Amino acid sequence: MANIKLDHIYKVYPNGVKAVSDFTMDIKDKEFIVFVGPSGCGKSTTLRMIAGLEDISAGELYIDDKIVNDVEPKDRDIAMVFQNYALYPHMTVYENMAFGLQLRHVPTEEIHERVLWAANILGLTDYLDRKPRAMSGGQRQRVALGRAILRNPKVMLLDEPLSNLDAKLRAQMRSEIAKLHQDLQTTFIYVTHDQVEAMTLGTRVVVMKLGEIQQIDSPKNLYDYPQNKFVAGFIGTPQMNFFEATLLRNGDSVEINFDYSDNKLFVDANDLIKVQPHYLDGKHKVWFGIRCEDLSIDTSNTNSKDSFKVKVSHFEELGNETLIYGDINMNGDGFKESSTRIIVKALNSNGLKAGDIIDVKVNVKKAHFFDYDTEVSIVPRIPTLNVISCSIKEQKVLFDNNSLELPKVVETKDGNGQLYIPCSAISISGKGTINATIINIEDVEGTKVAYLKLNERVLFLTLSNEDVHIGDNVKLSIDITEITIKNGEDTLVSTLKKYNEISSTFINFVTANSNEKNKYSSILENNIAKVNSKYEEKVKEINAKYDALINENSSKDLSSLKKTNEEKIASISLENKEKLKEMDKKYKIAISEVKKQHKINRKAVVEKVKEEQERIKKEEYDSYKKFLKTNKDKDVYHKRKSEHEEFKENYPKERENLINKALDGETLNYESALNEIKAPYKREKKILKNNFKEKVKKLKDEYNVLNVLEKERKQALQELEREKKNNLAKARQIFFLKINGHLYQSPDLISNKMIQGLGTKVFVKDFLVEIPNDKIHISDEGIEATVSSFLDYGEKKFIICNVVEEDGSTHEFYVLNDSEIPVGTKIHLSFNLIDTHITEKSMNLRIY
Amino acid sequence: MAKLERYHSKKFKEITSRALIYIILIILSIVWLVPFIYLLLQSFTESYDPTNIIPEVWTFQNYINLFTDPIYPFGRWYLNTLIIAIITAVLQTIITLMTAYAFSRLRFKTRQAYMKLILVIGMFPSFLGMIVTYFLLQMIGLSGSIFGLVVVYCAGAGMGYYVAKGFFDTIPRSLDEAAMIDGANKNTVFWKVILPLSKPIVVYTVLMSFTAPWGDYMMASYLAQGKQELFNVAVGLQQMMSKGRDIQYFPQFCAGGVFVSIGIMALFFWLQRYYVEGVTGGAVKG
Repeated sequence: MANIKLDHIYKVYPNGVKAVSDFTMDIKDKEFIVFVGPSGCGKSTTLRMIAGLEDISAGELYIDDKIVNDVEPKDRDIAMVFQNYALYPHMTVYENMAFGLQLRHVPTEEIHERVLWAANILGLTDYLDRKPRAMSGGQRQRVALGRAILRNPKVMLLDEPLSNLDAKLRAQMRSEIAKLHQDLQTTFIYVTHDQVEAMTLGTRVVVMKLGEIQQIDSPKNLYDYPQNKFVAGFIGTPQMNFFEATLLRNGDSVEINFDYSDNKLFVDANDLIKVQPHYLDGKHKVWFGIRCEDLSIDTSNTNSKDSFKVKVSHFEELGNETLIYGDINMNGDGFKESSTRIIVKALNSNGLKAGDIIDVKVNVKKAHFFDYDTEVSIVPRIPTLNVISCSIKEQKVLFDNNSLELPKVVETKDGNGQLYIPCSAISISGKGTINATIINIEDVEGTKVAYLKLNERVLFLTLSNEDVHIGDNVKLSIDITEITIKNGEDTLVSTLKKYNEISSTFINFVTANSNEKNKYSSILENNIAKVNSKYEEKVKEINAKYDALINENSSKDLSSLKKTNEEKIASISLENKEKLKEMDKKYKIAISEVKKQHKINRKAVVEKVKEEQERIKKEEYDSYKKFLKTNKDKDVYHKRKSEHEEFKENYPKERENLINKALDGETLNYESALNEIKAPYKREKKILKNNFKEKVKKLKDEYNVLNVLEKERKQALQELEREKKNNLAKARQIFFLKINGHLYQSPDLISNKMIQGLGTKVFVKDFLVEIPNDKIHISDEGIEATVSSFLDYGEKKFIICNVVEEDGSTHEFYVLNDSEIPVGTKIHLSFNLIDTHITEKSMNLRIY
Repeated sequence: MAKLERYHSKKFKEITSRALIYIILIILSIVWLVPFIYLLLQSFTESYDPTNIIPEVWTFQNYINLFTDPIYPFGRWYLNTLIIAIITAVLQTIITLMTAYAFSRLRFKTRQAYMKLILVIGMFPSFLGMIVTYFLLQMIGLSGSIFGLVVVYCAGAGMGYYVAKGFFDTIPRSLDEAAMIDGANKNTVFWKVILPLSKPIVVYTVLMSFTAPWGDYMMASYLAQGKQELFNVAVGLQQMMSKGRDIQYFPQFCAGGVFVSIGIMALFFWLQRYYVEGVTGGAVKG
């Protein structure tokens, strides 16, 4: 029962290979997460990092809000199932499952109970005393599962658990795992390369490629809304069809032109409303993706606008349906995977034959579009950016019959361009000047996306709390600091810088304190004093508690108690010895019986094989004799003779082989039978012994009560002392970030991340600190800066100032400030480290 | 008919080549076995006669003499050897297997370098360091004791890690990992998971580390410094043959030789039942 948080996790090998980069994910309690991807994509590495079998190079791993980067696997309270089962071959199934609990010193009775519980769930009750050698693959995997669920771990990790099983068994185990998850209600993390397993099992699926997360989503969303071409191609069989194409908008319709083909589609612009508008210019190359079930054969012969021509190349019959392979290029062959090959799903081949040219109707609403170079979807489910063509005239931006006045500080020349408006820049709550109508509100998994119609164009806006409805007329205002206007490569108006960048180093307390002449000593002393006083109180509490207990017990008459208890112990031990003797006797008898039976069985088995072989031999000899009598043909005679010779030569070998095989089988049975007696005997003996020990200890403790209490007190104090030591060590860990010559005490949150991420290397690295321009203000102390100019955006006003770093480089800082300050004034800037972002410079690792 | 001829010629070739192989093997085994048989037979003779292979008069007196002869305390030597060999076998097996496990499973910086270094050092004959060894033993006060030999034998035990490491490498790492997740530390993994799976290699290592001190002559004679009570069997038996009374004592020497080999044979037969193959069956996919 646990939440797991992976925070910017990296795995970098010593040779510099990044096996996993920037893995960030929140896993909620009871989720079934599947990592899927081609081999070598880092999915297993990530799982092994969660298990603690692999070190984390950078980033933090939280289990239940506790950082566990440096926690041993055994202390993480996880369980893992391996691809090759990894059962202990020298132990029986029972011992295999109990091993983990035994190492944790769980009482024997409880272990027994839990083993039976797990065996019952997995249907292993009859096999408990077998060794893994005598079990089939599916049973072994079940034992591995049982071993994992037995401890009731916080997280179950499964590393391709089914890939060693055959197809039928795999399907069966798949549903068993799904059922197990339902019953146990534990967090599962499952690694596989099989997309069927991923889609059927996962509540959420993580698709990975080359160490990077491609998409994290529910199976349905992965299928319907892939975020990039890789995910689109990876999920779904047969693979999605991809074509290179360009999109051109003509008023209300969009023309889709395919490369290497004369085919064109004309579709309603409303079907492509979410496609980022600047891709609709007929120049940007895109990938057009369509699944085979969204294509259908058009027999109407009307040459409609939403169908194209395909030359059929071959078929794949699947029984219930047929896959028709073809090419949209009339010269293509349809066999190779190319950017013109197409697969169409149909109920049957319908009398078609290779070489036919057919019309295929495309369901454009189900089509996917990806950027040609980045392969990222250009149809975001939640749009973040609006693009509209515009023109600039006399400090005014004109778009879609609306105008936006630019403040004087924005220097620009007149011309045409594309206006980029991030959704975050649009507001409908304030006093805007632009009229718009809400034509649709779409609910994308809790996020509401509003479609705002201006005159012709539609803008997207993610709603937070605004109470608006479809059909409402609203007034828009646009934050000019966040817009960009581009004309091709030229940027006419650029976004205002949001973050101010400055470099820094990380310093520990001793260095900082000695550099600053013991200025910070008081911080340390304070911290230590706090811990000391806290533990002093606790020690007093414990002492008082035990003093009272000892007082209470010292008045009792212990010597007579001792006498009676010693008598009890003697009688118990006698009883125990007798029980053991009886068990031993029974055990020996049972074993000798099995051995006797084994001897008989061996003989019988060998006898049976011998008899059978003897019969075969006799048959062959008889038939040969008969043949010799009746045959007159010489050629046939030679043939038959050599056959007979061969039989004579091979017969003894074959007989021996068969005997050995039969003996092996019998030996396996014998071993199983032995184990069935041995294992419960050992178990019962152990339980008996433990019970006896416990009883004796309890009786002894009764009359040794004073010593026991003293011991307990000592233990409690020791425990406390250890805790105190840890806390003192933590209190001594004070770190600073040195920025522009000033020391800022690093909050624990940031210090932890820095040290977890980089270890001791943290002190020699340079970091880039990014401070948002609205979280930095003018004050009496802090970074020194010289004002260079003032920006007036109407609603927002900024000061631009220059900060000179120690190495001489100058940074321009934007500071949100309402009042103007004369140019050249020296000011001090202060900020809170919590608001900033921190990045390691040389490896470009985002730390905070 | 042609077919039959070919069949025969093939058979003929097979028979001749087999005959040749067997002749060579028989000659080799005669050369190898005769000394043993000779030794065994001579240990039962009453008086030694080099020209007679089969003794004229059979007797057990040589074996009785071994333990009653006041000049040569064979019983003492045998006990010495047994103590040294048993202690060495136990310690050396543990050290060797632990070293092998460390090299097989742990990844530390100088792992490769150590492995190569050990290989190179192992190429030097051990007697090169004999004099230094003596002074070292004198410094820790073990130069006049049979336990000095134990220390010498065990000191280099880790160098024999090679075979065991090869075996450990074949045990899947996922077993270690599963045990670690189950709550075991490296120590528990070694003793409770890996060792029970490695019976063949444990037996092999025990046998190797038992036989070496059992038959060692050079180090033992050097450290005994001529004191009879510190001899092991090899040094003692050699002493028996080196004082010009060789003819007289030869049958007794032979009896000693037979008695020495009995020890090793007993150990081998005892351990053989653990030497079963396929103990790893069923651990992982199969």
